[in-house]
Amino acid sequence: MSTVLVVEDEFDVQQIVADVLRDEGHQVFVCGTGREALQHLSEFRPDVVLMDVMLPIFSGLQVLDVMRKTPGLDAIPVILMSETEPRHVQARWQFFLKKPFRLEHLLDAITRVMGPVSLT
Amino acid sequence: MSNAETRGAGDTEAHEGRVTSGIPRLDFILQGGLKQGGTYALMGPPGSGKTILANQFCFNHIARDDGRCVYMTLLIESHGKMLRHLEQLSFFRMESVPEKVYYISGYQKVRDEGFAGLLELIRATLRERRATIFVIDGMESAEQFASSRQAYGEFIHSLQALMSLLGCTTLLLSNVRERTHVEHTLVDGVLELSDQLIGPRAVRELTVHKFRGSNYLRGRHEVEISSAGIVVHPRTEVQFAHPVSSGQEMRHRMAFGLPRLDEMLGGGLPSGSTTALLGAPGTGKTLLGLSFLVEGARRGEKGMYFGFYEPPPRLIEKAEAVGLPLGRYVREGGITLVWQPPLEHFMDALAEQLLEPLRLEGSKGLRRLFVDGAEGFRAAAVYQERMPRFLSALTNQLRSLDVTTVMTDELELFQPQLNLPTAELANVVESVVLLRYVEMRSQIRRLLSIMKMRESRYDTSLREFRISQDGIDVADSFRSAESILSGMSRMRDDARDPDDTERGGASAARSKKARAAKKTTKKKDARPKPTRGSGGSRRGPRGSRGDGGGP
Repeated sequence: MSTVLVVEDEFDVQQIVADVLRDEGHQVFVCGTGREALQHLSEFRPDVVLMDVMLPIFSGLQVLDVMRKTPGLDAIPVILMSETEPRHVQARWQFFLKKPFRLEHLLDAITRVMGPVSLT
Repeated sequence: MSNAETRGAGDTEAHEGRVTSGIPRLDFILQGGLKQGGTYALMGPPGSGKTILANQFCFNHIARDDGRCVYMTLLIESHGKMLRHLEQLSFFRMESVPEKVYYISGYQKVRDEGFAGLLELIRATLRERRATIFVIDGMESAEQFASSRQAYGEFIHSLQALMSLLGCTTLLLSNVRERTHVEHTLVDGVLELSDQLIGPRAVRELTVHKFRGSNYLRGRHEVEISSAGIVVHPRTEVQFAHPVSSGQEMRHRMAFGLPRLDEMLGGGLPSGSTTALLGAPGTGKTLLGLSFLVEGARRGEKGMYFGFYEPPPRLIEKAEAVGLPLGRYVREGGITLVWQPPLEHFMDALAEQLLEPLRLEGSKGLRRLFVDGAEGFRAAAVYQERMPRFLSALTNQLRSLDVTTVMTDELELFQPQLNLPTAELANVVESVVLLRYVEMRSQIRRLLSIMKMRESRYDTSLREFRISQDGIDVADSFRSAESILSGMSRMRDDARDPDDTERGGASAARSKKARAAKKTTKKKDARPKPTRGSGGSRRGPRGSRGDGGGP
């Protein structure tokens, strides 16, 4: 079982993504702002971060920037979610999901970044 | 009176301390735009265009003022869907997202932490993003978390204070609310978008209910949503509510290029005046109007045709068939043809299409205008009661631009009385020219007369108006005995058939014979039979001589 931090401000997207990941057998933590995300990351290290770009207060890119500069957080894989693909920083995340995305795209991104989940 | 009031909506200027929306003519209605740091409520039912207007405001702001916008949603469609829809609109620039336009949701925060948490989220985000425009879309969702009206009022009050401090102009979007809603009493301005069915037509309108510290154009203004986004059309009569007292008209004479008609008019129509050209279908209104434009172009005066029924190629063909070189002047740029297919239009949008090119051209531009016909405006009017004020404002504006206008209005084919379809036209035009059919010896002929010419001498005689492949022409005086303006006539005993001259008097004998046979005919037989749509009083002058009275 992997731990996933979902950082998403849109409540419905946050809940649906979290439910799908739980169905897949992952342990899921959620938060809605960039500031909360940094707080979570200072307390525990998830196996993967699924992060929106446009977040209240600090953007997903700002959080990613902090992660990449912080030993221990710099290696955590990040799946970015956004309506538009951020430019100039492609090398800093592992996968990009263009919103609005479908369920199979989300599952494909998780599988690619974390590998298939064993339910046994 | 501000300069803007006399110039019209196309000339909006940025005012100090204002944030222009960049939405066509909205800034004119708001007399310069929204106030920087002000908080404004934008209400309207779903589908009225609130989200489009707010986004358009944001994207125009970053393009014009290099600002930064934060767009917060509260339990409405997801950002992904919203942007997908906005992508279809020309103002939208995906490359500006998220750097310049930043979409976030505040729903979870207000749900979990109430208004205090939401305010903290807004404050921190706006400072971090250095936002100059802030939008909250879905205010009714926030209100659901208020423990009381007072608590909600306090939130709005705090939000307003914060925005004023940050100098961030704010739009609060919500579904329709009563005018006395607590939100509306606290904010700096209230704008409403409506979407309703009026008869079979779906009509969107914008109303500014309140705008602190500034004048604004009151009442409803038509709104269209196109691929360009929201377009607002201020009511023409409000837009030009303060016409300049002294126009620019030079009072030159603008000829038709038909010697006898120009002679009747004392050289032509006075420049800057508006003339109603009345007549039943087929009497030659369009050709006479085109002759006016062609003569102008020949003299180096630019003209515009603004019509509803005949597309340009057909119009050119029609003119060329009677020897009017319309095509040549169109190609040379002396005449512009603007065709509005007779579909659903908005009256004010039509007026804008008419006036804005004239204003842009300036004093060296268009001098002559031919509107074919007034019923196009009438058909576009959602509220018919606006027509008198609309036409008055339109003609005043044309007068102030020294544009000489000829506007047709169609009479019924069988109508003994002179009932103007657009009755308001009679009050706003300086001149009235009438074209009618007349029966002569089993022949239909056309008759031209000048019914009215304000502050000018004119020839009141009746003339035959001829259309042939050799051209259009106004003939000598058409002498008839009685009821000539009812469309029924007969030759006077001492009169000659105009055609007799052409035929070398061949018909004179026949005419004499016919007159002798008719001697026993009673006068009442010459009276017109009642026809369809002939209600109302008889307005036209009777008898064989025009007396110059208006319809």
